[in-house]
Amino acid sequence: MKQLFYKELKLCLPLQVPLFFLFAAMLFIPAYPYLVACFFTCNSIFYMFNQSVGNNDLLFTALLPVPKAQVVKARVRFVVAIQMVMFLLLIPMIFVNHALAPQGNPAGTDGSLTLLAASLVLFTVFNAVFIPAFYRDETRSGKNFLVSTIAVFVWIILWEGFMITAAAAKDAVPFFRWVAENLDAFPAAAGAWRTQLVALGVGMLIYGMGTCFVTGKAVRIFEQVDL
Amino acid sequence: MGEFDCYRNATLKAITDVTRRFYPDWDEGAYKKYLSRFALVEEKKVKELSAGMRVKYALALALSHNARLLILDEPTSGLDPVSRDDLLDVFRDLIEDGSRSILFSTHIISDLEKCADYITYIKGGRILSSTDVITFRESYRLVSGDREHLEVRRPKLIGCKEHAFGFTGLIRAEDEGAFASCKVAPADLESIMIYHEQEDSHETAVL
Repeated sequence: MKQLFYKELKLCLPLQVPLFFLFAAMLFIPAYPYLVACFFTCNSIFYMFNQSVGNNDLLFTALLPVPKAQVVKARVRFVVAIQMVMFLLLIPMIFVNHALAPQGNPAGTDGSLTLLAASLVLFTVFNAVFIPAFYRDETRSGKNFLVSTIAVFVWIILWEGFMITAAAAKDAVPFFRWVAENLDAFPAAAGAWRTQLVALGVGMLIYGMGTCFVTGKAVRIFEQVDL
Repeated sequence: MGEFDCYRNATLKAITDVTRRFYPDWDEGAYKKYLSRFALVEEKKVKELSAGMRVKYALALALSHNARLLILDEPTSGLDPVSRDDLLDVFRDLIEDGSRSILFSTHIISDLEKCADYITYIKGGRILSSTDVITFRESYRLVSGDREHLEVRRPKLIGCKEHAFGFTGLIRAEDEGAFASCKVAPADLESIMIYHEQEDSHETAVL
């Protein structure tokens, strides 16, 4: 596994992956749907898979003395590593965002722990749609990316739409007031911190379970592919 | 394995650095030796190598982890005659000490004439013959004769070509007696393959 991970790092990592981490700086923008920053990470992951097709990466890896399942597991773990780098980069950005725009984000979720949770769900959605489909037929990675992009943007629209609605209707609906103050905004009170930590925990749980599901499914599909 | 056609923008050094980690018995000395022998420069990118050099790089990688059996898919396909001959020399050298075997597929008959010891002839997914080259060649004969000899002997012919003066065809060596009045000669690999393939078209025509 360590060797396969090294192979991913040395031969499969395109320039777009480190470059697109810079999109974490989108949290400097005072009004923006910040979840879109995470989409760019998914975009760079697509570049990596697409480049792998052009590089005959699966053929090269299949000729190495490793089981097929390990090939998939190593790639999924590498994807998780990329997504975790973006996740970690977002943490300081939340505080920077709060310092730059303490009034909150009128275009969607504020920089908060809930944003981190939503970004983990976004990664889960992308992985669940794109990765198994890639191992079913690597030559259709463009189409698979399009489908996964639609799925990701459905999540972004639902989430950011919910937060915008909550912010707009907080004075009329008590539940939306609770959402706006405890989930959407940068946590000020201890209660909001607790709520957002729970939300982050739920996000982590979804991401962890999603990753296990994606790995298992992609392995099963790839085992049946006649290389 | 055919020619090495992965990671075209990566240098040989980077690819080798990854590959060697998968083989605990990687022999760096042997790798350097084969690089030098095949005139491969590690700093070059895969896309900068010719087709022949890519096959040689694939061989260098395989030989550096002491692979005893090399399975090559059309390794000489697409190479110019000089590169092909050069590669066949390499194959001959590799198997010389008897510690390694090379199994390669090809449709270039001259490659077989030059360096194959054993032939497995596969036609339509079915193994027609699998034996050493000499036995394989000696199990067939080329015959030629007048047209009048043809009709009664046609069932014994694997394949034949008719022309103005008569016919030439391929028979099994054990059928040689039936062609006593014809000119019989040893068969070469190319003729064996051509007439075997004709056998198919003949059958199709009959059907």
